[in-house]
Amino acid sequence: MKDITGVRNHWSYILEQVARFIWLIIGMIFAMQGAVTEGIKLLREGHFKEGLMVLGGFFVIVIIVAFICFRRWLKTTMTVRDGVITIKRDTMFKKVTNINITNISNINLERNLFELFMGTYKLKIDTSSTTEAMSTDMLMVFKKDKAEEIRAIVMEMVRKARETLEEEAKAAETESLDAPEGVAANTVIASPEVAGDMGAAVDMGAAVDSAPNSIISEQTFKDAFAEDNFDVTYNAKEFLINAITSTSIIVFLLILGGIAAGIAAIVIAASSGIAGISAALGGLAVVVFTILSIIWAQVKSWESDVNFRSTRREDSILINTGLVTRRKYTIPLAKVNAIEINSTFLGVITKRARVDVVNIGGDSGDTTGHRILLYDKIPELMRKLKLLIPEFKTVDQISYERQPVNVLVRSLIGCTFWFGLICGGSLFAMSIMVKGMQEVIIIPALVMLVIYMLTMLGYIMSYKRRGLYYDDLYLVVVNGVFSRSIKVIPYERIQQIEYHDNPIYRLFNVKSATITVQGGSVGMSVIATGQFPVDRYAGVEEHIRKTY
Amino acid sequence: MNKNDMQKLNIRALWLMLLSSAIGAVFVTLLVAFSWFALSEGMPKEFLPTAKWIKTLILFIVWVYTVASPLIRYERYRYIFSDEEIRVREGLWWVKTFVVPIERLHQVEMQSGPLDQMFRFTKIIVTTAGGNGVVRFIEIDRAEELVESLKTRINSYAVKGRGKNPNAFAPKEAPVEAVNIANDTVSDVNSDDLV
Repeated sequence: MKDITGVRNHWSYILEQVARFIWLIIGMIFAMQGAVTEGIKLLREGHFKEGLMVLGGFFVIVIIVAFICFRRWLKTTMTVRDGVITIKRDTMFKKVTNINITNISNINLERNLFELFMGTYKLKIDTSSTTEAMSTDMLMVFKKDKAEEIRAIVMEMVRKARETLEEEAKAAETESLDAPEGVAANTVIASPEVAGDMGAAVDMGAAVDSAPNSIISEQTFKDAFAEDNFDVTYNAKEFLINAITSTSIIVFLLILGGIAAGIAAIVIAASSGIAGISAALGGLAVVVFTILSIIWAQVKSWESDVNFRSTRREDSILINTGLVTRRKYTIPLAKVNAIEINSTFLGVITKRARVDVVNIGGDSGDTTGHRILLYDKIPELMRKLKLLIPEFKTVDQISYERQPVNVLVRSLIGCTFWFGLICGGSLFAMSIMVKGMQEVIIIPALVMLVIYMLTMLGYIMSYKRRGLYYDDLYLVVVNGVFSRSIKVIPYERIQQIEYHDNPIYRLFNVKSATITVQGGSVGMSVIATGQFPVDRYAGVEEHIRKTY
Repeated sequence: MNKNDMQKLNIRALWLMLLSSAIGAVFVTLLVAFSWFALSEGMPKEFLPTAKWIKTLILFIVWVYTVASPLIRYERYRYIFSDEEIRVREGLWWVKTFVVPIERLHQVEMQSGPLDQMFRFTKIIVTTAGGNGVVRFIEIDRAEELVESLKTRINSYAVKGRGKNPNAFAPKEAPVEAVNIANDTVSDVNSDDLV
């Protein structure tokens, strides 16, 4: 197969890159309007030397930008060899990016208007990595024929590499099937009476093994929704309870606060007469608009849950939901990287929760696309979860480990110290710098005291909520302050772990961690644990290593 | 794996850290000097001595930090590229340790700026499906060897990965379902019964 060695971007790439700096150049023209006008006038009058001196700085920057872009074009090359795509940029800020052919998930050709005019295409190569969720992993610009040629070569390499991997994996499975000592899981065994059909049994085993890798077929998708036969459904009373429970307490407080602010504004304005009321109308309009926006967002959220139904088909979960905007979608279990059992403040009090999944997909920022069960009493919720994911070992009866008590004590002491420092300093500064403040200092002091008490309450609630548990199957992280979120993460879905500690943590032999899985609206979901003894995380790492 | 297996940085890395830190400190010093000249003209005379002390204190803190932080960061920085994972520990007050399994890697990148190139260092950025990790201050030759090795291992992990159960919630020791083709019945069987 043809190797691709040291190919460069098309020369028009230089112009595209220079154009990216056009905003800088336009900004400079605006900032130096006087100089630019003067310089142009001098040039028109034939005073070239003076004109160029006046416009000199502007020209120098344009030349520098063009030089940088030219050099970047000259020193950037792409090579495909030995199953690895390498893009090398040998400029002042060197960069060498390597992507294995086996990790490529997408190869696209795109063009914008300029590229259409130039007859070029952008070759975009993406992996499943979502660190660069909003951009492309690799991007080069070529003439149309060359872009298509390179794309075809790379796709052929990807296809061949995957075939080789499939063959090698199949060979490994066949060896284990032949081995007399044990049998691999997921193998279908024929009964002794039909030993002659062992060949068919092996094929079925291969079919069973490969099915979980695919999303359900289009026919199954259509049939499921046409039959309207769902494992999990809700009646009107359950929808109403879900609507009330799912409403965050913050929304209630914001609406109440907005109404109170509006009433206070009217009362104060009315006491100033008609002029005061007219002046207050603008502010009142903003308050009313804000309250209406919050209510509208909440109503949309309630509407999206009406008629919610879910069911399991093959290896996907099917969801049908919505009243005005109907949504039907599937969530392949192979794409589910974690399960979340979430409760609002009201949910914690009434012992209800709902289940969401962490997966790639859904509209960005739209958490409805990740919901698989609505609010329900915990035992009923677990029963329904078993219907959707029978393989899932439920976690409602597990005793989570809390953070050590010293974590709470340190948080409270730290909060008191910093609040005392900041609030004390602010009050002192206000009393000196603001005239007449000393008489009414009690008001800001009371406000700061209320904020301090709420912050302390937050720390106490966070300590009560936070928990950690792990067994052979999952890592379970519990977080929240007034609400609660239980995240169940299979070890093989953990992409990386980052630990944090400082001298005070080390004194108490604790550290905290952030665990990254693939999923969520920005492509990665970062789950923070609290401060736990160092050896707990060693145990978690042991389990992760078993998945390699 | 324990702390003792992790490697320290080359001593040249300390000079690079000191130089980067010093460049930053020079900028801050110039900024403070410029602010002093701009503000001191209009400042009431009674505040001038206090302002002078504050300015001196800021510069003192900046330069002590400039010298001390690279020393502490250099002593603290450890990394290891093992057969299974990459582990890096770095930081000053807050110490961060990131652990990236090699099996999860999608992309490997080397980046070096002008200062890095002056000291013949580069940084390796490894990217997984969920994020990336950076290993700084690696000698260029060593980095190239590590990247070559990673590229080979990523491929070998891709082979192993094909046989894996994609449904991560299914327990690995799940009972095997035995299908009696003759009688068309299904029963749960433990793997032990099959031996």
